[in-house]
Amino acid sequence: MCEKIFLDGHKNIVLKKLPKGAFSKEVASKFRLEQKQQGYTEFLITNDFLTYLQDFLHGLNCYIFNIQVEALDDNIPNLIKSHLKQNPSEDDRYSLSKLLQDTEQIEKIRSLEFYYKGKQGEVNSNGVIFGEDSEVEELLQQAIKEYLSK
Amino acid sequence: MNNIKNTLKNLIFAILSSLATHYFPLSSHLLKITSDKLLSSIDLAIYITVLNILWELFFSCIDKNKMKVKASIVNKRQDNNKFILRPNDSMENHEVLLKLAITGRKKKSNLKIRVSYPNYFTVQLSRGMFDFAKITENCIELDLQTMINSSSSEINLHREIEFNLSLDQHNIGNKDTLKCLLDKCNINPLISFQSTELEIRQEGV
Repeated sequence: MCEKIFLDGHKNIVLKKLPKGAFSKEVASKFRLEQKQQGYTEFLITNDFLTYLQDFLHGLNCYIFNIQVEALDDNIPNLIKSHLKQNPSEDDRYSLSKLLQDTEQIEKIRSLEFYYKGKQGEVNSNGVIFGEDSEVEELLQQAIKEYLSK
Repeated sequence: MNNIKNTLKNLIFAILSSLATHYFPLSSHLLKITSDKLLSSIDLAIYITVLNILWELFFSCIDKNKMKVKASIVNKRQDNNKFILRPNDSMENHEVLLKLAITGRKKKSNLKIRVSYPNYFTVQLSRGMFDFAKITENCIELDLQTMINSSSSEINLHREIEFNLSLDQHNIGNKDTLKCLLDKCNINPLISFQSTELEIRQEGV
């Protein structure tokens, strides 16, 4: 599974398979515009959503093993890594949430990789989601649904 | 425009004061001056001053009863009113803040603030905004009444509404502005509204 998330006019989540070369800005832009013409708006994978997703996944005891960021300080990625554990403590989760929301330190959250029921999933700030299993897909849909109701 | 209004106001006050000086001369009763010209000038000065004071009192009274809404849209990272987007920035998410300050006497109305944006932007609200903000076709709509419902009669409410903006297509030379507009159907004279816009310019590398 390698898809992009769109919302229809009623805010229903629709996953769309990526066309070839969708990682280039030109193709991604064309794809988004085509979808817009059909009434689908791309769901943007923002810093706010990725911060929420981190909380959501930890709440389900998922193992987040990698969070890539664009940080203003070179030590930040290591600091993030130090909080990413298979069973993070409350302190780790709190510190990580706080750090990801710190706009003075982190410019952009690029991606978040995790394991859910032994299957790998990844969400990228360019809007692309990867998952080894349909359960990962359903989990992400659930996260977006909850996010949109917050 | 304000200068023209002020000049007209001064002219009207001068005419009214001249008439008052002619029909109700004051200083001739109060001062022992024999020059009519001097007495008229003093009367004119007194009447103009009184009219100006009454004018100020009237407007400060209205001002005290007004609900003041100030809105500005800023680039969150730089906290300024400008965004310069390069070709590489298309499809990236840019954080934007709509800063809203509502102060003064609470007014009941179905006030809505709208921010329209061009079709080639994709816009998404962040968490915590969905109770009073929604995105309709190319427009962010804020329901002020919902925001102020729980406030007391004297409001001092400051909110930052965060949304992300992503450019679907980059076209060098395009310049757009995001501006808050008050719903004109519900304009109440006791609600003042000021807004600062965000300028978005698409430039080359």
